[in-house]
Amino acid sequence: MRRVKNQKVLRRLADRTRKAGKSRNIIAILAIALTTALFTTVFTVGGSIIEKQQEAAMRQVGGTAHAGYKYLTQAEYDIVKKDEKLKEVSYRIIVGDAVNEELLKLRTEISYYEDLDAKMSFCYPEEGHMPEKEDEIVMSDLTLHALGVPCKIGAKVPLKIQINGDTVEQTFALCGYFKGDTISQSQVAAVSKTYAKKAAPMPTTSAMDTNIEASDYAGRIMADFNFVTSLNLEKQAAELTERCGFPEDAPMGINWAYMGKEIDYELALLLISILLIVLASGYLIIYNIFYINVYQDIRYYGLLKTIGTTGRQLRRMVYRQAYMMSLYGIPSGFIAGIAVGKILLPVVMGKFSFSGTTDTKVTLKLWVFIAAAVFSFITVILSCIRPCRIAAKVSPVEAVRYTEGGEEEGAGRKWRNFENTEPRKNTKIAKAEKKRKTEKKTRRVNPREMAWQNIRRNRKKVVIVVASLSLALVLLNSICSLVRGFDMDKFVSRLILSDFSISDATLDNFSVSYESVVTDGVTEDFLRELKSQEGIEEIGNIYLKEIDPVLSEENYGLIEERIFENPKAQDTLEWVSGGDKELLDDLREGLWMDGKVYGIGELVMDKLENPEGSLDWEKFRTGKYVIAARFGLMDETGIDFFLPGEKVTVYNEAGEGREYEVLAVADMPYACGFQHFGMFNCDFILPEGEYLELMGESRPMRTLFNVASEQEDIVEAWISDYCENVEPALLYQSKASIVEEFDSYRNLIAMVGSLLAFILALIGILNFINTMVTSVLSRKQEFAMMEAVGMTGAQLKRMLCFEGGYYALYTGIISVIFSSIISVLVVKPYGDEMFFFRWHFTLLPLALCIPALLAVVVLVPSVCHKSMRKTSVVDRMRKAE
Amino acid sequence: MKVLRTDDLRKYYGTGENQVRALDGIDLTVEQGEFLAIVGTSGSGKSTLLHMLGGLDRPTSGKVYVDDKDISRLKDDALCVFRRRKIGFVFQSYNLVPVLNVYENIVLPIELDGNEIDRVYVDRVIDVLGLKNKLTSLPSQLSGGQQQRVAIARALASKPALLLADEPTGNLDSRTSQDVLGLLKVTGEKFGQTMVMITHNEEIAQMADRIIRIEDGRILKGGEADA
Repeated sequence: MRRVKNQKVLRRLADRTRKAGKSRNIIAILAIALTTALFTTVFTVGGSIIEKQQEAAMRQVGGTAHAGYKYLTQAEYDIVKKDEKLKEVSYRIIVGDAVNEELLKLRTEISYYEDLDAKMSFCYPEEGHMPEKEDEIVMSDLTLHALGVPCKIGAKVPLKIQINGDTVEQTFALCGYFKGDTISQSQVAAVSKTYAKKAAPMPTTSAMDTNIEASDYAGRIMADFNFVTSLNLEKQAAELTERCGFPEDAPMGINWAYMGKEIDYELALLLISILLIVLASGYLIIYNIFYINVYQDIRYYGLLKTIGTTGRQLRRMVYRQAYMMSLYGIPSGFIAGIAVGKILLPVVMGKFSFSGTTDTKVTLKLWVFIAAAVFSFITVILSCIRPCRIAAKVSPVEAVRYTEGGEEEGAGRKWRNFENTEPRKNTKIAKAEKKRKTEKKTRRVNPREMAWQNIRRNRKKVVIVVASLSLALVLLNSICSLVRGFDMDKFVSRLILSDFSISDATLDNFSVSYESVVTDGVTEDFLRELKSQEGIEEIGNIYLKEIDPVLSEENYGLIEERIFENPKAQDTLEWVSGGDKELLDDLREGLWMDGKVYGIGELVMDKLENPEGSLDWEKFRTGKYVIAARFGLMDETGIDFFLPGEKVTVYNEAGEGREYEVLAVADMPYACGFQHFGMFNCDFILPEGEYLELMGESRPMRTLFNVASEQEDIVEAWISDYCENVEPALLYQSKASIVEEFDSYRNLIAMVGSLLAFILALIGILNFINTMVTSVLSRKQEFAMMEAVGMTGAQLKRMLCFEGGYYALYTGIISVIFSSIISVLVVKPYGDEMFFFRWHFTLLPLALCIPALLAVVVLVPSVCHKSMRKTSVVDRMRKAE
Repeated sequence: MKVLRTDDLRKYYGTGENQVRALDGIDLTVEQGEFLAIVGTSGSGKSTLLHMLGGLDRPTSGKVYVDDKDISRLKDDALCVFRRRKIGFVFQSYNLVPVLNVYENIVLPIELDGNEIDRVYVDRVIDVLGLKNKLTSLPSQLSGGQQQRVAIARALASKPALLLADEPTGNLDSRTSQDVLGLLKVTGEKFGQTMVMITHNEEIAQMADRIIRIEDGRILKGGEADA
């Protein structure tokens, strides 16, 4: 086909057409801007959350690099370094582990780092510089604190370093430090290359083919690198290995922070549904605006077609108008979106900060704008598909035929021009007309009836506007019913049972891997300090040892009978084994049986849940009794392993056992227990004193305490200072802070939801205003004619208000129906996922919004009518141009 | 040479009892350079006939040949392209594009076709129609007669095979009508343009080379070109 050079003229036509309609452009641009603003907000907030999650994962891993080879020789590293497809390559040389006694709990790896690798591994000094002289070192404030060395450049740092099995002592001078991270798997320290070379000479033997031994780590190169993209890292890494000529199983680590497993599916689903809602809302308004515009211009397009513009050219013209409006609308949307995001982010990020050191400051990312622009643009294009088709399909005869009939609105034309287009109508319409006419005879003509007829003649617009308005209302109602379902008592009692609770920071942090969780973190120092505080009323410790139960033949038989052959337990068994028959058999054999032994004080015993048998502290503390836990994973299964009165033996780590009588059966409250579970848990609870006797001296996993209410603020100030400055490894929770957390969580959802609903409502109302105003304008002559034949202005106004009222009525009906459906089918299941949710059915938010909606739908037509009445009837009856 | 020929052209609306025969078997030929007037009362089918001739609407049966090409078989977009190349329209209500100025309106069909504008020819047309001083005005700034002259210029600009005029003076007072018609005839002769005009005004029709009369969708007289 011949490529026709007519772009210029089409562009001119489109641009002039667009410029001719200023006010309607403003509405279209506003609609596009609002849509973009919503997208920008969603992407900024959602993106930040995902990014922070990823960052938290990276901090845990201890690096941002995509992947890395381990234990390379210099020759091997040079091969990697030369690879052209890698974006960045850097390395560190392992020296050894610091083994000072103070660092027992804080595994600290010492290496030489290149500057880039230090940055990628979060150990580039914030104060000071990278080590240059042989005895210089960079460490984290956490490690320094543990060593008792002040965070001051030049401070002396005595270290014992284990290098390939040998321990060396060396005193370094601190040349820089950085903020350490409690959640990362190990701490790091950086020394100079000179020291590394001297203390750990680089081996030349490759570690690729042999299984590397622990005595051979020192001096080897750990190469970290970034690919151009973080997509499909496994494949990229395998290809790199091939390119480098390394064996397939060359020791390599891929940063799992990039593997996407960390991204919460529920969150992703939520974000996608919000995106879809925004898309739908944007579609509804932009489509409606263009639909109305095209119909208003239908004669004009018909005329263009008559003089030889093809359908494709008309389509291009409409699209071009849309593009040009996007050009204004999308950037304005960015600005609005950033503003909204700025308000929302602190609230949102406050909730999602993953631990103390993540900053909640959010940078504006380019991809957010690109994504928002792309989505907005897609919305615009989708919205234009049908209006463009209408413009393209316009019949050239229209232009000629309707020149004299005045400006007629497209959707209403069939009906109103019924008489003069008689020959063209088909029988179906004829029947409908006939029916309508006979109906009409029996009815009185009044403003309400006329409004009804007017509403009926452009049903499509009604559907779109009603959908647009309902979307906002339904969302608002759903958010409100979700928020109303949040039950503070349920929330608080699940998380804390006393005024305060303290434990190691890793204990309840699910981003910390199981192996790194510290279960004996409450120090003697802390307990001593605590006792010296004023106003402490009760203290209760919880100790924990994970010891797999060793069961007597007899007891084992009981379990076999009570659990494995119990039909009630089958679901749970099925669930833990994942339906794996072999695994289930192993469980049955007694393999994989996990157990925890708790030691508790009186305060905690009072909190035990669902007790069966008497929880008598005096009897319990004698040391002859044990409280047995139930089978099940914190759910309602709750089947007893043992019954009160039966005898069981509990063992310590050394394998020595003592026999106890089961005093009672009870559940450990979630807020007190250890929140990691094995597949099959058989737990026992001993009194504190007996526990310490059996297990030997230990530190509590968690300590609960209550405080006299007038002392609460003072104690809170003390403990907060203590956890920050004295023992940063400790983390406390207070009932007050949990209540606050609950409030902030509720506010977060309420705020994000209502803001979203507010913008959606704005879009809906804008859509309504545009529809109403254009429909009044296009019927100017018709109204003038009606006035000329005796319809009073007041009647006309009433008619218009009724038209608006019908929109409100339909919106109300649709919103009530959909809100109810969503409340039952979406809000309830979603809320039930949260332990502190209690579902309520509510339509109250709708009831409160509908009067406001009514006010809008009555006000807008009134204003339209008023402005229309400014010109005289005669003027309006003339052909409107 | 026959520029235009129709072959048993029919256009029916509706079915059964409601069927209206707007055109009921029209056979018509128009010679190169001829000025033909079609007269008929309101509802006689003359407008429908013009729409068929210009490819604005499709016949129920029968054929329309323009330059020996059967246009009733063209697809929509092809018909559009055909229209802008072969047919010039002049309507009762001028139908100028309100957002374009006079000159842009005149050359619009050429530009839509992506062709180079024949400046000399277009300037001559503008000259003859007396629009030289109005080229940058918008249609809304012109009088009815001036607007219709622009419409005629637009119709001629692409050197169409056939110029179709639908009541071109319907909206004009009688003096201006005479002016416009005079210009139409003069330019037609000057550029050797074949023209078909429909009107209900017998007096105006007298200016044409040949008049055919149409009633109830049939030609009463004058269907065949003389000689």
